[in-house]
Parts: sequence; C-alpha cells; structure tokens
Amino acid sequence: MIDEERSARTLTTGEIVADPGLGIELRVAAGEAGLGRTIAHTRIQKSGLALVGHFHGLVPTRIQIIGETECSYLSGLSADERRQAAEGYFGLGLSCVVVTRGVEPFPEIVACAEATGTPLVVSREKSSGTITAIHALLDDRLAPRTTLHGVLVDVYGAGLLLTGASSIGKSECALDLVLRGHRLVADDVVECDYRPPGMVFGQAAPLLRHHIEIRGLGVLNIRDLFGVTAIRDRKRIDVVVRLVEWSDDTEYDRMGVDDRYQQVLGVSVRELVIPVRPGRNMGSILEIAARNELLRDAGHHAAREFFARLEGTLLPRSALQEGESIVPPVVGFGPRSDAGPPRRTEFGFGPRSERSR
Amino acid sequence: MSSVTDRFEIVNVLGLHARAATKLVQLASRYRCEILIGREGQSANAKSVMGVLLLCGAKGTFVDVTATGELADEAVRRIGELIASKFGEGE
Repeated sequence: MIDEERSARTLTTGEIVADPGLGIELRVAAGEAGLGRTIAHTRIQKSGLALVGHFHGLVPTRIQIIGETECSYLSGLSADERRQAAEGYFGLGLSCVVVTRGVEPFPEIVACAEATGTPLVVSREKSSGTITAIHALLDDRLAPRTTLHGVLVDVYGAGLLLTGASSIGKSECALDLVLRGHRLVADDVVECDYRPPGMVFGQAAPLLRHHIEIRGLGVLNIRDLFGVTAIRDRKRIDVVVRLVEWSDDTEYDRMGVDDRYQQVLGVSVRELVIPVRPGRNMGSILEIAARNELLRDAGHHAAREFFARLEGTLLPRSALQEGESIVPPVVGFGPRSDAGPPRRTEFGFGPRSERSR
Repeated sequence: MSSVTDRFEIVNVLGLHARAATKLVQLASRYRCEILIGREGQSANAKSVMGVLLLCGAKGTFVDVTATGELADEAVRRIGELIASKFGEGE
C-alpha cells in the first residue's frame, strides 16, 4: 500500500502559493527567501502545541497552519513571550506557515519568519476551507503516477483497463465498446495516478486525448466521430482486463470464483485474463465483465452464489462443519473477507459513491 | 531473459514525427521481443504509434531503446540504424 502521507514527489512552497488550481488566495507576508523550500506531505499540520514549545511530531516539510485557536493563544502572550515562542517555532526550518482567516500576523511572528527565511503566508479563508483547498491541491500535485501501455474504457460506469501484447486487439475492443455506446478514456498510453483511499485513476496524455489508433484506418478522433458521449477525460480503474492469445495449452478460469489481482501504484486491482480468439465477440464479453463487476459491487457474486447452491445440493447440511465450505474463499468478498488483499480499500464493499467514479 | 539497451540521437530535421514514428513502430513490430523507447524518464512501447509520438523526440534529443527477449540485440541495432538513417528521409 502506498504511503498516503509522505510522497515521493515534492513541491516548493512557491509553486503551491502560485498554483492556480488552489482556488483560494494566498498572500506571502514574510520570508520570501524560503519559497524554494519543499513540501513532501499531502497533509497539513496544525501548529498548536509547537507554539507552546512542544515540538515532538512536527514535520517541517508539512504545511503548518496557524488558525483561530493558535492566534488566540498567541494574543494572550506578552510581546516578549510571543517573540520567544516564535523564535523556537521558526527555528525548526519550516517549509511553509499559513495563517488563516486573513489575520494580520503579529509583528514578532513576521520578524521571526523574515529572519529565518520561513515563508509566512496569509489565507483569507477560514482554517477549514484553507485546509480543504490545500489538501485537494497536494493530493493532486503529489499523487504517485505511472504510465501504462493499454486502453482505458468506461463501460456502464466501470473502468476497464485493457492490457496485453501489441496487436492483440485492445484498440479494436475499445472501438467495439464505443460502438455499443460506451466511453473511451485513453488509447495506448494511460497516465495513472493514485488517489486516497486506495484508488487509481487513468486519463489520456493531453496530446492523445480522444484519439485512437486502429490498424488499417490510422488515427481516429472518437469525439468527432461519435460525439461527446463517447469519450471521457478521466476514470477510476476498476478492473484490469489482460487480453492474451488463445493457447490450447493454457487453462483459463472456468469458474470465476478465484480472484486475481494486479498491482497498480500499490493498489490491488482485480484482474481478468481473457483469451482472444476469432469468433469470440470481445465487445460482448467485456460488456458482460463490466455488468458482472457492477453486480459484485452491489454485493452479488454470481460464481460464488452458484457454487454455494451446488454445495447445498452435493452435501447434506450435517456433513459440513460449521463455517466449512468446498468453495474456495473469495478474497475480500462478502463475509469471508478474512484473507488476502482488500478488494479496493480497507473500507470494504459498500456501494461506491458517484463522485469517486 | 536478455535485455539490451542503447542510446541514439535523433538526427533528422522533423524528429520523431508521424511518418518516422510509423516506420519505427513497423520495424519494432517485426520482432517478438518487448521493446521500450524512452526519453527523459518518459517511456513508451516501441510497438505503439501513439506512445512513440508522445515522446515528442525532436532533432537533437536522445532516446533510449531497450529490448528484452528474442533477438533483442538485433532489434535495438536495427532501430538504431533506422534512426541514424534519418528514417530514410534524407534530411
């Protein structure tokens, strides 16, 4: 699992303050010399006890927030005490300190920030709004990313990432799905980014967006050909569908009871291995895979239920010990979620919100 | 499995444009081995036109070609020759 707190990427304080995606206004009040300092965490810290001199747990590369509570503490101090508190606090080499509610920082604070080259930033928003905006920006800018070779399609709201060797027919499958009214997200190159908790999203590289390459036809613009309902800019990846050449020597999954997982950016994404052969209508198969995925999401597992029924017919109740089953446990599914990787998140199986799609 | 890597400079005026990328992809697709082409940390499957186009390899940039598997060394060498020959465009 990816460490959701500490990111492999970093941003400078200057980049964050100037980022148009922030949505709130930040004004640098002092310490401009330190705008090159780095932020390496997606979560802020409220300075609280650090101002009292208790520095344990304070991480300089996290954005520090001085909110109403901290301000009320500081205003209760004498100017001398405030200077003392500020000297200790700003001596920690902090990357960024944000004062919220548009409060004009105390002169002692400004002086210390300037002297130590610590960027002191004022936000006009309340702490809650400021923190929400900063978290959203950091989640986006510091998200772990990777690029995958494959095709991402939104089928009935389920994100299917088609992978497999070149010329196995990934793009053709995607085109078939588009013809059935589904939506293309990215062809060939899928830029993936991690979002907490435990989700991976995919999108097209800006240059390739809405385009698909079909051998014999060349590069096509799906948006121009099919309209806006046939494309989608971004989609969460729900299932990895690995297309493989049909081989008579390989045993394919015939039951659908055992789950396979593929690691994408540290997240376990369910994987289907589907053999391709002339005469197998891949569009239909993938459409059904998506329907089945939605069904699983709603708490139904067709294969499991089928085999449970079979079990009931084969064995008299008394022959089975309590809790024993001939059906192999399905990882992360239903009540038997005691083993293996979590299906999506540790928060279990509830219906996913529309927003996270 | 053997893996071969080499670095080549793009020397033709138009760089890895559509026609050049197509030639490269066609050549790469003749080999069964896995071939990746990368530039400045970006990496693409050499058998995918879109991926290779996305590298935006202009004249003077260097690309790293890595092949893994059957005939990997020959694949890398032939791709290098194609790039050095300015994709047969003569400029």
